[in-house]
Amino acid sequence: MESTCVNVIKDDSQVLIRKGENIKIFRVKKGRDIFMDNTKFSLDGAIGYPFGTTFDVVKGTLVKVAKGSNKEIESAGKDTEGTQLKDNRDLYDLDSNQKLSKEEIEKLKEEGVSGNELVEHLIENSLTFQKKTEYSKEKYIKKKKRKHVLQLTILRPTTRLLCEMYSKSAQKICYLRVDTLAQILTYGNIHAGLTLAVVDTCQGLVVGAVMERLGGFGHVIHIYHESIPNRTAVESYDFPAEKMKTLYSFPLNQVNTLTLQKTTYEVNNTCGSNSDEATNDTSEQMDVELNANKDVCDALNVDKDISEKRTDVEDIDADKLCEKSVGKNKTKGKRNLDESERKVRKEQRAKEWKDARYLLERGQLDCLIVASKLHPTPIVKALLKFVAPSRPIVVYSQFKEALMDCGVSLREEGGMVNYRLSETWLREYQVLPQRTHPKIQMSGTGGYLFTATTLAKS
Amino acid sequence: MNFCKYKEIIEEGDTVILYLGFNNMHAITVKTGETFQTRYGALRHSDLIGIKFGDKVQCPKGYLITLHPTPELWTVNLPHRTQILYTTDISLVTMQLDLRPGSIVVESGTGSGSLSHAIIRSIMPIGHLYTFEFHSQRAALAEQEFQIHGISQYVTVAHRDVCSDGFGIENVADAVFLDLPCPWVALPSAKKALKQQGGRLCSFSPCIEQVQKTCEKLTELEFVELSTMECLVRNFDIRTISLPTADLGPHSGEAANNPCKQEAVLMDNCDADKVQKTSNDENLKDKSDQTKVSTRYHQDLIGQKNETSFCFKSGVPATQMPGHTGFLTFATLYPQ
Repeated sequence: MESTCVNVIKDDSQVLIRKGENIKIFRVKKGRDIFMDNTKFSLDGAIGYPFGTTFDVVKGTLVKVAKGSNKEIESAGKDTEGTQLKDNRDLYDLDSNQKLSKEEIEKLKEEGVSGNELVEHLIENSLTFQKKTEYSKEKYIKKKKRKHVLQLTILRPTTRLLCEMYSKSAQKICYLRVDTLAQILTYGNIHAGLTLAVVDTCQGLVVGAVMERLGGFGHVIHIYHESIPNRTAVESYDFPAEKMKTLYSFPLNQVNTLTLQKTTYEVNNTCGSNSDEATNDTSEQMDVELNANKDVCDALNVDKDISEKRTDVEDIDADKLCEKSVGKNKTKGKRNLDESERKVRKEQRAKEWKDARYLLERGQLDCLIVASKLHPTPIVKALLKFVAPSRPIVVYSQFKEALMDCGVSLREEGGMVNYRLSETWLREYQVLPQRTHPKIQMSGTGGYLFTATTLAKS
Repeated sequence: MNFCKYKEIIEEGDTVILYLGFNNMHAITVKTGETFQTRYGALRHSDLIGIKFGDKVQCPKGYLITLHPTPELWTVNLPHRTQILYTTDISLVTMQLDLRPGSIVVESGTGSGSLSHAIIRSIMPIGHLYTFEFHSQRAALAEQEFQIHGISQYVTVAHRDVCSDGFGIENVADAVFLDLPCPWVALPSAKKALKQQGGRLCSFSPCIEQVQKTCEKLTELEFVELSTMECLVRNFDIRTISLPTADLGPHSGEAANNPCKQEAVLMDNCDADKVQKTSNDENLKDKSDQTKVSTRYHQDLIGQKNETSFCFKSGVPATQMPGHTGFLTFATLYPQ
């Protein structure tokens, strides 16, 4: 079963490490130390455990946290007497409130006192702790634990968690927020079996999210900006090879060379029964539970050539991954690639473009997504003709005006319905007994979306 | 047909969305012999057979457009048997529950099946939805709809009150969705339904008191990463707005030396070139100054200004919009 092996942390797995509000991505490499929160430790101890396991960092290694060990300390704050009436009128902000000095705390740490024990010491030596209300005791413990307990949970990368990670550096993903990405995927009707084009300058996060929803069935063409596709986020997902097969690449600066292949289109139309058969095959293939994990392409004759050619492409991807994971020293060597190797690469890239070009020029795209920092209108106009009738297009921009321009221009050209310009608003809440309220900070913008549905070309 | 798989040509038995306008759509199931009344006159179902999704269809008094159904179009056109979840919330639920092909999902209640369609779309062809509804007629109608839409192989509908009887399944689900008046009652059973390797849970409640109780119970049951959120959508109408320029009366003193008439012309983006030419003829000395001014305005311009008005395009939000749907509470269960 795929699910069981996917759920175990292995050497070379991409992992998300959550420590409180902080999430970071790492690749597990045996014997290699990582840095997080100014602490150096190795992830070796996590290998073999399921994703979602919580660990303590003990002397630079990971030790699984026993269940319930966190409970005792939290109950230390619980007051049996009715102390709801306490308030902070007699509490003063003084350094002397804590009897332990900074040096003493450091010494305890060096002696190997665990984080939880250290927090207990701090409570014992706090002159004010017992005077605090139950709520502020809880807050105190939480604050001290955040500082002194290095406890982390290792999670499997998903779109949801990657969005959370990127929310701290939203400029990298054009300020695309989790709820906006969620709308892109639903309004694009993204599901297994589609062929779609995604223009993405958000580190490949949108491409990755789409691939997650295709689940290995279908084709996504990443139309990329600049010379090489930037898909850091796609790598984070750690997709297995059979899911990577759904990914194709095509450069934006070649889009104008694309021409709609009328012939293919007509063949599909006149031999309706033939193409129908092919689609039926696909659906049957897809119905064959789990077995269907192997490429759906096999069922579609048209796609057979492509899947054969794909092997070369994978090699490049593997190459790229290797380069990325090796240290900086090697990247220098990369520049010294000899001519022949460079030529081979160029040919491989051309081959990859050819497959993408074929998929685009058929004019049967099931969806077009544009999520970039670029002016969207020309991009949408250039690619729209390759989208099949009655299919959604979704355009994201950080700026409403860019999408207004897109909306006005496309309406002028006609040929679509259901035009919609929208924005979502996301507010999070703190939910605690007697203390529920919206969070003090919220995101001010998650960008804007323009959606529409294509019609049959008249 | 398979609702969740695009096809090209409309056939007997297919569900079709008839598009008459942005907020004027109807979902019909094509059946030869039947007719559908629209504001453009009667439409014979048989006229749809053989044409393409996305084609225009001529009716006596106008044309309408046939669209391929999607869970989103279904949500705005389905027959309401209950309150339903709309696409904004549905999107967030799908994302936050980590749904993807292969996910096993448990849902209660089924209601009108708005969310169910979206879940099935995201988890097929190798996932499965178990949906529970305590109202027997609703359960039966939902089952019937799934059949008509050709997606019944991905869903099991059960007529069952999960609050009193539990889900009756253990260690199967990757995600659980609850839309119940008292979700906290169903939580222990929901926990059992989740796989041993853990999973995600979502509870949708309109009232904060429900959220409060749900969160307490979730913590008690050792769910972690609790997060409660609200998501609203704002739609914008793209309109051309023209604001009249106020008459501020005649100029006096210094301002009189700076004729505003000329400035107004300069500010007009489209006429920028023309202005440069005329200034050439008028006064060579002024030329460099004026070019400078015109380029500056060229950049600043967000609309068109003339003596009488300021004209621009704006995305105008609706004056009234839904301000609350419900609170979405999400939680994770780590491996047992």
